[in-house]
Amino acid sequence: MVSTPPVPPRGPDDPDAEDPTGIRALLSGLGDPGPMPADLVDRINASIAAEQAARQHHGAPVVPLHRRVPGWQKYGLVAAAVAGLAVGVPALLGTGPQDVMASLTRSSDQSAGAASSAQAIQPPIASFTPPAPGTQGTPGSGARATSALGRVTMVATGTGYTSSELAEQARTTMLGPFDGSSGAPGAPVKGAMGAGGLRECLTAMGVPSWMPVVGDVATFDGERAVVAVVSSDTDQSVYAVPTWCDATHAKALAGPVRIR
Amino acid sequence: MDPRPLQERDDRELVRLHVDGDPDAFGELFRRHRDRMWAVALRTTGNRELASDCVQDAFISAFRRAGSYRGEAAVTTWLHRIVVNACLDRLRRDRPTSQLPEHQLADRHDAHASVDTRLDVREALDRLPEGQRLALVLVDMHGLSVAEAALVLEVAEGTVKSRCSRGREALAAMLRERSGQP
Repeated sequence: MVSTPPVPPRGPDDPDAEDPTGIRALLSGLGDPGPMPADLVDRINASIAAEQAARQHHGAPVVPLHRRVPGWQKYGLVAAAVAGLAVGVPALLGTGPQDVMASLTRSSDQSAGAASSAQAIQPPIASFTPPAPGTQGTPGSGARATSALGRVTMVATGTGYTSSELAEQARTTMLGPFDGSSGAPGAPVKGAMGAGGLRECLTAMGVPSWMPVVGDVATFDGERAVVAVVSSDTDQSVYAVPTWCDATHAKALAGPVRIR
Repeated sequence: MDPRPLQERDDRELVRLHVDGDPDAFGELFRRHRDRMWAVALRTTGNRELASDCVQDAFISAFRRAGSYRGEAAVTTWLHRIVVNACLDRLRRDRPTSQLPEHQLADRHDAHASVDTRLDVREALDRLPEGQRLALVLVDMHGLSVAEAALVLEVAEGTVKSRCSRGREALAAMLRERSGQP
């Protein structure tokens, strides 16, 4: 599979080729600039992923990413605003499919499946302190006893993840601030780009369904993918999966890799 | 539903799929045409950083504006137009005059004559009026037909032809001057 060649072939009888100055031949012979640089490919793929995530939320306004991003470290920081507009981050654990804004203002425990939170903005999951064994129903708790299905939160940080730095990137990116101001989740999306599909994908790969997940619609080694951080009682692991991953087409591009 | 993978769909289908909400169709378009659009941006701006910004802006613009693509011209023509306009917007913002500052055609001594030629030609191109420079980049360097270049630049074909003709004559004169030829 090849991309479109930079200069299409020209026939010898092409009337456009008449040029007594010889300049046309000179210019066409200067050589091809070569393929788009890999870092630029990653940058644009990340931008496209962010645009796609924003589009899923009914045309939410998209904040343009900074143009010059020399290193992947800036992707998470710069795209935090995009993530904030695209997806809200409510309480990560234990809540059912309730309205995001309602969950942010809920001040007391409700159903067994709900871990209420009075916090306006949740701390990033990398700083989440796993509960002591047996803990039930506390905010931020991942205790399996209170939650049949762990919360899946989707974000779009615009990060260009790589296989060599996946764990570090996941740790750093998930430490970035998430603005929980977004409203209700957007239209259903197929595969791992949506919360339901990502859960099915991970479950098919053996991840217990009670474990909360944060899924980042981004790129992995230059291709669109979803990077998911899964939290157990004691640690967190990261997976990279194709966007089409689901219950019947489960595949890990990388992981699980323990990040803490 | 068409079961064919995206890689087997033509460009117009990909745009339609993207507009209809397919999350991967635009990525396939990007993969297919990124090298060519990078070349256009680089040849238009003459600057790698500027070209990087312009081509990123262009693809994001294409993503957002795909609904306005009417399908009359080829998708590549549409993409070329977006990239060229992104480059021009940026060049005009950074250098508000219509003509770029003149470069001195330095007398570089280099063991590789081709490097001399490329540098001189690049500098001479930069000295051309914008319209002539763009016409030569698209037609002579990038291989577009006059008809396609006219669609990209949104001018008449005759305008492209005359810009190419005048641009080549001007370039030839500058390069002759550089080489000391009469």
